[in-house]
Amino acid sequence: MRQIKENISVLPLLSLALVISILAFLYKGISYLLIGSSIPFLIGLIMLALIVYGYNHRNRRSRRIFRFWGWMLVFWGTVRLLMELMFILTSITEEHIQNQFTIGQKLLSISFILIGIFIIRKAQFYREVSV
Amino acid sequence: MKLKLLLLISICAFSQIHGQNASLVKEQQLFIGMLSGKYQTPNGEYILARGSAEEREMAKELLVDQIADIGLEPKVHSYRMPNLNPFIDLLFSPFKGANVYAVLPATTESNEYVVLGAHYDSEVECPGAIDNATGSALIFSVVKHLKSSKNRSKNVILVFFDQEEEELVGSRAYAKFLKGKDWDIHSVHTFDMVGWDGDGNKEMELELPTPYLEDVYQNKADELGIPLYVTSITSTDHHSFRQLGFPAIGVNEAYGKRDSSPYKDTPEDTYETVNFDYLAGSTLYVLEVMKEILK
Repeated sequence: MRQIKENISVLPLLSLALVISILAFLYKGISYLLIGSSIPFLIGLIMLALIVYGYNHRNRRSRRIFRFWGWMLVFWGTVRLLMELMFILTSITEEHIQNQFTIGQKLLSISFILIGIFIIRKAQFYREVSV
Repeated sequence: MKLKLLLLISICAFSQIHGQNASLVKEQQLFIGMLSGKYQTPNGEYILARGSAEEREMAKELLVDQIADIGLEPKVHSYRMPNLNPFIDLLFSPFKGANVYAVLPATTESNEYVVLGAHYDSEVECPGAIDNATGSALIFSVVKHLKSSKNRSKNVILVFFDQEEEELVGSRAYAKFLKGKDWDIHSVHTFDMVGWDGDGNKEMELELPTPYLEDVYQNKADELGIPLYVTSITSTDHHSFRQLGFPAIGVNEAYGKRDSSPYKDTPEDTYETVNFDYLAGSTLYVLEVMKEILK
């Protein structure tokens, strides 16, 4: 616990980015769990466990875990934007799919790409500070 | 003298049936007209399609009012459902929608329920007159007429499903909802497109009936001179119920024999293309089937 507190004070912005992103995925996971789909929650839980492990240990693995999470966020946002492009090109009219690509959803995808990039970059410093 | 009397009785019987048919046609024309943008709803709106969330909301309000108008208590079953693939859940938000239903109670003590369902949504930018304002009109009329019957051994659930056009989401949610109830579901009958009869032979299609349901439908069809055939098509709402173990059947125009609306899922699926005589005949047929089941 002390280790976690210390790490948060050393890199507060990285910590904030990690907390916001993992909480968002856990929220999504819980909302799906309540309606009978457990995969998003399980994935969120695994990532939470890895990130907590990363904060508790000052080793190379911690940095890898954060970078991995960062890349996952970039991948998530990029896939959503690419899917939107694909749906525009194929003129799919399904209401549910159209609802995924509102301006708000687009901003969410872009925000998570930016948060992902931020985490990847800051994770480097995490190692330098920790060693 | 006897011949004259027989003739008089026949004329009376004919005019009664014709009168019943005519009033049914009128009733269904209004119902379908309002659902497909031909006529204004009592709220002063034109529902030009039932694909977007706003249009489906308008249709839902109309159905709630229609159910209340026949003296039943309308209920809204709002739901959120996951996507078909759990990994898609990671990317997309869940489906959101609302089914509208009402229970017509049995006239005797019973925990058995017969479900009559039809989807009320349409494809985006399609008026959906045949697909599926016709199925909705059919079950609404059947329940309206059953209400005046004094002998109903089972409860009847009238349900209008949302989002059939989007992977049967509404009926899947409703089947799940029924699974959570301690109701004894006797059978589930869903109707999807009952407004096209190009060759004028009144034919209807039964999709994956249980042996009991096939018997009941076949016997009544034989009595009324309606040709029937059975298919194993699963692309509509009855599939959702069968998947959860309910005895189910799908009933519609001769889709499998291609005697079915060519305007399905297009902006041309309009009120003008509906064969109202065929719909009324099919409605009276289903009414007879229901009377048999509710005996």
